[in-house]
Amino acid sequence: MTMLQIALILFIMANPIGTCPAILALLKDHSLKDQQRILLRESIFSMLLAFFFLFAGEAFLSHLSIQNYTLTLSGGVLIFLVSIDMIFSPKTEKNEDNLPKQEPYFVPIATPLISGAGVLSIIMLYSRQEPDIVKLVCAILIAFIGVTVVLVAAPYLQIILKKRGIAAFEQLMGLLLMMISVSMITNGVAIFISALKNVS
Amino acid sequence: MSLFDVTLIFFLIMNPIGNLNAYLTLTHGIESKRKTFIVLREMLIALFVMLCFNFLGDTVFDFLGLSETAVKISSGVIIFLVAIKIIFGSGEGLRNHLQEEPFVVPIAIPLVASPSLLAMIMLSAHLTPLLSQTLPAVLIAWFLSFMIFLFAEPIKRVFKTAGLKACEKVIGLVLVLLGVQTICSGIELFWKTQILHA
Repeated sequence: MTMLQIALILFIMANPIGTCPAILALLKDHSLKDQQRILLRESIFSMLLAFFFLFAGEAFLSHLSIQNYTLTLSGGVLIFLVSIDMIFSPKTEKNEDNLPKQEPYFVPIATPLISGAGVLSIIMLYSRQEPDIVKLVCAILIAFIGVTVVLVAAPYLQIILKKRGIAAFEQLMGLLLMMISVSMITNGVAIFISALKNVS
Repeated sequence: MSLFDVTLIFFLIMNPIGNLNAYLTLTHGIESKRKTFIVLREMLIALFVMLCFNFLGDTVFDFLGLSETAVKISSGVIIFLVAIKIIFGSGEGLRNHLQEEPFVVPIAIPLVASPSLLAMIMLSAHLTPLLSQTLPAVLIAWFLSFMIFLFAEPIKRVFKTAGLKACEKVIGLVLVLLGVQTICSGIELFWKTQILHA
């Protein structure tokens, strides 16, 4: 596989275009500049996570005896919890008198939305199969530059949709995230059950 | 599992880096000599409790009729819930205890010697050779945590609050993985022992 092919696969799996409506809904209460700052940071985090899993992923997971299904299951559960929060506690107005807004940090944007179980598993797979590490490093760089561009440009979408549009969007995006999360959970459970079957 | 694996798990569950912020909040305003004394005292208390569970683990197991499955699943659940709390919230509740100097609670227990850690120690003591694995793992993990708490201020200066928060969240993520895995291992064990052979 060429470097660009791998980069494209990673970019598609990270799916920034598909998840950016949901991510924007998550960041609804922050200013445009804040949103871009957060998204840039999360993008960098997800890239660092990808590199970590490239070099140390398999060793790390095997030391903790963590199986494949755990990554998928954990990602699914985390997104599920985020989606519940989005659907059932919609923040309609800026709470000026309350505590400073808790901004999402690392979870759930960097992972599991961008660098989720799929992306990290594929990276670990490639790290095993591809002899040329430099190719993989460059592929990850290219893919994540793409992710960063998409994410940092996304807040401008808000200008088109306006604040109310995004607020209405939030619950729909919550629903979307919930469906994604349930799909991840059922996938994880399916792999778990086949692992159980193999034991017996 | 190797000694490294067991030590790593204990160290992650003890989560000294993640707890650093909480610890600094709790000992805020106390002079550093007193802080050193408090760290030493709390860590020794925690160590004592950990060693108790280490050596009495097997006995408690048999006495209470606990199965490995039960301990695995419940400690997995606790690890998972603690991890979710780290990722999605902040330990604001700890600030209420600022009136007096922290004694045993909440630093030694449950910040360091948390229920999930004690359960893991019991499990490890039950399953792996005691002297060559569990005991050294406990001591090494404890010592590393002790060092981190001792050098809390310098570490904070290097990483800054944002850096510590990042570490906290990343470790929270790892703990989610660990928690889910422990629960699944427990279920797998349940499957093997209860369903297949019953």
